[in-house]
Amino acid sequence: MIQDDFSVLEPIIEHLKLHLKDQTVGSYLLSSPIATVLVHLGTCCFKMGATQYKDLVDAAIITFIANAEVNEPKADEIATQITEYITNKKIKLLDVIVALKENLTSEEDSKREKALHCLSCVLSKLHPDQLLRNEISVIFNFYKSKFDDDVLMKSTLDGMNSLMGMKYISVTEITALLELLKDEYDAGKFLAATRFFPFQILETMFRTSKDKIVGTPTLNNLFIATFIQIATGEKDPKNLLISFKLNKIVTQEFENVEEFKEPLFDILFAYFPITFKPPKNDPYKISNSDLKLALRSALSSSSIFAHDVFSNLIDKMSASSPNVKNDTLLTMKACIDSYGGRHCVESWLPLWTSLKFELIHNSEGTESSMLNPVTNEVVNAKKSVQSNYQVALDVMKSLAFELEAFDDDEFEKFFYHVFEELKPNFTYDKDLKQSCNILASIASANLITFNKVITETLPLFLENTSEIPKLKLLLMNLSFFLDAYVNVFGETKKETLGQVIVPDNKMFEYKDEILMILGMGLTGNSKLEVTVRTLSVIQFTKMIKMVGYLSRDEISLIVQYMTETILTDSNKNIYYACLEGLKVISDFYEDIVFEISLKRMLDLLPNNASEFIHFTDDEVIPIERILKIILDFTTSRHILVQESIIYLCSKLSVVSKIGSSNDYCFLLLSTLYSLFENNVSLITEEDADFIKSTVEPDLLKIMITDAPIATDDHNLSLLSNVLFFMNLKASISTHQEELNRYNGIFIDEFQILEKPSRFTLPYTKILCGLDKNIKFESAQEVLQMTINLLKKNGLIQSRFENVGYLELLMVLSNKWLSEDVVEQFFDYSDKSIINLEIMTWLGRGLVMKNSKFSTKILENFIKFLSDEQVGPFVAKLFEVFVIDINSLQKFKGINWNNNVKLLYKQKFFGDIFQILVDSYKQTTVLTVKCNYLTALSLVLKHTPSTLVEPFMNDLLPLLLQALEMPNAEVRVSSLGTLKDTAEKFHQLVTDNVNTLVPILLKLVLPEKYNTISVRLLSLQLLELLTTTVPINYCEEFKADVINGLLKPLSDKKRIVRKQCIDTRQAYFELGQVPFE
Amino acid sequence: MSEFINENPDVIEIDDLPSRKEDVSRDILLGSVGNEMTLQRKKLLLSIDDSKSKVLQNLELLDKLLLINPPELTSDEESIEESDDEELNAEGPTDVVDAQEIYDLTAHISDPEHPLSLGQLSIVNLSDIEVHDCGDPKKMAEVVIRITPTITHCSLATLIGLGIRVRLERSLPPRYRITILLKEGTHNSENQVNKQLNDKERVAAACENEQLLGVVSKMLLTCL
Amino acid sequence: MGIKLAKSLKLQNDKLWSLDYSHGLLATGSTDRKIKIINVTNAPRGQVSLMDVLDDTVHKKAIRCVAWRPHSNLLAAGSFDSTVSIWTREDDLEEEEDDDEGEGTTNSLEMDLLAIIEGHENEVKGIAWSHDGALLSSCSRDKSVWIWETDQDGEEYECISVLQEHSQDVKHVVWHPELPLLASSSYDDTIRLWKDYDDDWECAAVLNGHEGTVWCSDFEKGKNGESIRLCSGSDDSTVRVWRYIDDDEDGQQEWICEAILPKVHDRQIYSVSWSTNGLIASTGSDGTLAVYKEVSNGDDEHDWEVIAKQELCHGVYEANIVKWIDINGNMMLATGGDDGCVNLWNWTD
Repeated sequence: MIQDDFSVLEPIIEHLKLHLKDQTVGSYLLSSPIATVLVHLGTCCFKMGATQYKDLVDAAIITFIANAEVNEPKADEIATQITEYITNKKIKLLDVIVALKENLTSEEDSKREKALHCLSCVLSKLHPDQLLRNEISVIFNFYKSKFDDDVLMKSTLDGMNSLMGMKYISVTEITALLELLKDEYDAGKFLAATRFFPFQILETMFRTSKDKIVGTPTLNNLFIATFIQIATGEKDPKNLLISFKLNKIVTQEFENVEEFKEPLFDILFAYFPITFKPPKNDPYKISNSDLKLALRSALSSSSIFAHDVFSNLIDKMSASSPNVKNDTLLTMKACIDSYGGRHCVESWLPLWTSLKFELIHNSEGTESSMLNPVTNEVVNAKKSVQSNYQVALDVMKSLAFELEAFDDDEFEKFFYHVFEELKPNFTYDKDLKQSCNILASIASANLITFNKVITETLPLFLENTSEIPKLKLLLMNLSFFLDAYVNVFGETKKETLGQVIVPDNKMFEYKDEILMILGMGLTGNSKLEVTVRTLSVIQFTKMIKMVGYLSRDEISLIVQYMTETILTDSNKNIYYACLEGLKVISDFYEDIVFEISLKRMLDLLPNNASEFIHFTDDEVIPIERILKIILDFTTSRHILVQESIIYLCSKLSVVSKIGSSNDYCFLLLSTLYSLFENNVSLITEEDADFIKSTVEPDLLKIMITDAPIATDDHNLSLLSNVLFFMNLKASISTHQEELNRYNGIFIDEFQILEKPSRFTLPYTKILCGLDKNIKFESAQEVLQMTINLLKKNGLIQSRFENVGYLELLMVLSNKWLSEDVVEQFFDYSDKSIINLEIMTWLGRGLVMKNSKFSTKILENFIKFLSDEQVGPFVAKLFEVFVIDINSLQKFKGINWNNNVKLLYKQKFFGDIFQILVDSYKQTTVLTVKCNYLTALSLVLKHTPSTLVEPFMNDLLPLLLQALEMPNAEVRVSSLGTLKDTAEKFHQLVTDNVNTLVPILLKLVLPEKYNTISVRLLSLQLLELLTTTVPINYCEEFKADVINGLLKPLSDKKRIVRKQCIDTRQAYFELGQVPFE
Repeated sequence: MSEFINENPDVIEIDDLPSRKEDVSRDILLGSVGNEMTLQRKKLLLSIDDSKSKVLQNLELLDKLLLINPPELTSDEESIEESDDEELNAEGPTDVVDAQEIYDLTAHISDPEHPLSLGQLSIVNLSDIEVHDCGDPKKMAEVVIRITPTITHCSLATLIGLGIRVRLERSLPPRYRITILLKEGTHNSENQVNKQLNDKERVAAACENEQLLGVVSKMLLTCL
Repeated sequence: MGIKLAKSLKLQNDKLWSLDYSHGLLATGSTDRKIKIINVTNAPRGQVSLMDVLDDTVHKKAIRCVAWRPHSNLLAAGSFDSTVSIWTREDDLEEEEDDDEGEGTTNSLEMDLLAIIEGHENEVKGIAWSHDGALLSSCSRDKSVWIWETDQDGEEYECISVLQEHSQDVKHVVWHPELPLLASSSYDDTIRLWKDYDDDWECAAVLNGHEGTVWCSDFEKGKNGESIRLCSGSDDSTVRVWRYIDDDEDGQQEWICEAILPKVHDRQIYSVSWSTNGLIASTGSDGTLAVYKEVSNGDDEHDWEVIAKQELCHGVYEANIVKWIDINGNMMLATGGDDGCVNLWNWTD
């Protein structure tokens, strides 16, 4: 009830506050209706001065109590208000107490509680130096008097806490409070929220009065005792967090801790291993790991725990839960690291014993993971939670490190003990992996431990053996010690190459032997020993990463090994191991790799494809492999790329001299092309200029003189693209004169505009590469002549020439001619094949730059589709508008080569889609319908499905019809789109699945328009349905599909059969639960 | 059953399993529009670069453009016929079912007791597969496959055999008769197992046993 | 003289395991758990009609075998689900036969479940009615042969004997057309004959000789017991003819393997059938349907000859069963195969 009455008044009192700030408050009030209200409140407001504030306080208190627990923010606001009055000396804190009196003494618990709560709130908001010495003691005693009132305990403690934070707090109060808490306070009676305050109080005391407390032995002990008292038996996570924190403070900052070490330890370890699952909406957002870490850091904070901690942790190691183990091990490590070697002296033996058990019995990592060319560390690093095995090893490392740092002899004792226990394993090949892991982790600690381990251990297994299993083991075990080296001395870095000075260490003594063994492992074994060979290569690679370990000569030797291996061994693992190795090495020593590896390989390339490459007397290496290797490992390696390009070009000009070397030339050109394509951004202007000046003359020469290039469509087009890349990257400053030069060569010399020529394509590609901003006066003239040439009926014989000229039109209209000029060349009335093609290519040039004319052009083309005569052909032409032409693509960081708008396809598709769909629906002539669909699906083929999404709902029905059009390509592209659709729009496909499946079951059968691709795609789509369509739908047509796919099982093409089998299997397994 | 399990079988690297080298042809044929020549070139190309090669795209582009031929406006019929023949030629010769194909179907089935495939464990070997097929779709054909259990008393031989049979019955056209045998002298109860594996009625019954199907489907998971 | 396809009827996509003929009606059982009843009275003229498809929820697994009960309209079906079901048809079968010309196509018939017989541990593989319809025999992968006794209306079945001498699955059982003599074929490569020694069924003979599973056997018909012969087909791709010689002192029957028929098949033989006029038909995995005839070669020696052969009688699929059927005096062969078809063949001497 109380609450109701007062809450009515809230707004009024709000008002009041405002007005009182006003000068004319008094007079205003007289005439204010509010006055009457206040009379009701039993207060008289027309007295001015302090009293008036008291009234305010009363009012405020009433509001506070009204809101406490109901609307805390509001209550808090009021408290702040009151605090302000105090801070501005308008009233004293005592006034507040007086004002609260009535409530404080009320019979109603809630009234009392809220009242004291109000006071404590205010108190907590006061500035630390607000209260004077005596005020503090008065209020303290006031609170003290409440200490036996359990209802008030929370607020009491809250207030006490605030007091302890006050500047003028004295030892007397501190002592008194500590004693209160120690003797009078019974944590068991209160809720977690209340229990929190005692901890907070201690924290505050420590913050404000550390020196006083720690300075006075009695107080020091009292504090600790009190802490132990309140911390014992605590269960609440939030309180535990602060308890652990305090525990750490005590052990680290306080005197005479030894005396209390048992209880202090108990109130920590009692909780180990701590596990806590935060409730759904936990306000404190405390996670399990917060607690884990807090506890861990408390335990490891002080070496006084050393004895207890270690013995207890060792017990925990027997736990079955891997998580407990993990926590235990990590805590072990933390303790060892922070206690230091001195405190491990008495515990290392039992520690080792339990660790050994863990390590020997729970090994991890299989041979296969070792065989991963990408080294293991990387793999481990990826795991967020470290495996217990790994942590246990880390503990060994810490142990070794701390013991050694503390005292060499202790370390020696430790090491030799461990060593002697593991030694027998080497004789009996038992638990070798673990033993080596352990020793290697000891070695990883520092230089001294490293030397010690290496000296003692390597001799145990480092022997040149011919027994494969032994060698396998040797190589795996060795790797751990190589890792240890990296851990101690670091990894090779490009930046610090040759700068890092590695202290002399024992590993050096074994260098030659290791190199020898690895060399043997790689070369001395039959190719069948994949594992051994791969391991050798991986270890070689590791050694490269060992900073300052190998000399250039030795590295060269390794490069040589790897090169020979990669050239002569066709096993995938080994191939990739070597590739990885060569890449790593070329990261640091590109020059060596170039000299020893690349040069060598290039030199192996014969001049005549018919020659065999005799590498060693018995090895014959296919040309393809060399080129593949070059492509695979030069990528993004500056020197390597450039050298390869130059070398291969000169090789090309030799090879092309030999007639019928087309295929060999093709391989070389493909490699060149890829080298450019893969490294566009890597190649600098300087490189390009250099490459160009070195190789271009030859290239142009062989282009016209040598048949294998001049007369071979593929080769000539590849060469043209190589020329494109060269010019694209060549310094822009040269482009202008280069254009003039090329015009000289192609137009004047080769006269490509006078008579049909195959060399128009190279010319076109070169233009593609040149800067669009350079002057090209004759551009329009060239365009005109090209068109004339094209239109001269039957003059151009080969399609290849034709394409060259058409592309030329596109480049000119895109780069050097104004839209309006180009537009004049469009004559929609002339439906001759050639004119249609000309308009298409000119059109594409414009469309790509989102020209204002493109819409008009496209509308006209769509009109052509309805033309019985040319329709089918125009449909095909639509593909030309969107098909990707690599020499017109956008390259990162290059903006000068063309006017291609990034989103032109989107615009294009948007422009045509609706018109096509509508026209399709309107017409009744099947052939014309087919034209629209063909055009549409050919366009779709080259349009990213993301652009198509918005149109999907209208599109799907058409796609389904397209599947039955008598045209393989239409079916293919429609199937392609349907596949994307099925992946993205499950619902849409599900709705249509009953139409789709029967059609697909027709398309999987060999028949005139069901080409391999059609059959294959249909089968893939059917398989896709099992994963995208809800199973209950699939069940409906499961039987039909399984049965309908019987025939395709005997398709003439293996790939179709394979896919059919996979698809069928997918349906057989529908709803089948694999047995576990 | 654990004592039957062969703890450490010899394992072959997956990459070292016998395989059909030119299988890349899949990628080629998919985008295939061109003629024999181009096909040939693409194969060459894939010997030095992967199927994502830009060169490949470039070849296809060129072919595409070369193929946008003006239609014979006079006689449409013929031109279509021609293009149709081209389509057929483009498909190239028939790939006959051979031992390798059967091997590929079965080698990747996983062993019920090891996390490894039958191929890796040399339970299925290319040399132990025979295909008898006159190629005539109207006639029956036969596949004989001899399997080598990891150890002579491997009690799971029958299960492995069943897995292989189910795999092959699902994968081969109905005209194929499938005979699965244990390689001579590789098993203590060779004959019983053989008889069991080739008893159509028992196999059929097994295939109606949910639990068995479950095990088999787990073995076949690795086939796709 | 020869075999000519009269009608091929595709009933489903999966294996058709079994068929049986009686009173113009052909019953089939198949993997899809369906039993189908087909009117074949006009089959010789290439006309057949599907009359009824029995409730396919009765059996939980494939139907392996079906058998009409003589002199009644009861049908028994054995399934991999280890049970045997008994079905009856309400309407009167006389009517069925009288109305000729294009019947079947006209009226259909209704068959309802009458009883379910449980007992076998696992797959039932064969069932057969004794010539008088009083006894039903069933066999299973559980290596046993059971003999059930039933009354006129066939609702109650009492197991009177469980015969367990076979060491492996029993694939097939067949009764002698006139005598209380039962033959069972087994995965243990033997055939056993069983007869009633004063109300106690016991093994009367074991026929050894086949070198593989014996899938099926059939007795010679129409000899009024004066001579007893049995033919059998096996995994070893041979068909053998066995003759009963005499009983020995302790009542055991003496049998000899009289002949191995000329080799036709090169794979498992799944089914043999002995016609009323002495012809044997066989078929199996190789899909060949062969007919053999016994011809005398002078001195009362007899040889068997292959007188007709039909390859790929179910296309490239295996054939599971063959039966001679006599439709109003027309000799026909009915075969069932993995292609789910029933093929009806006209036989001309």
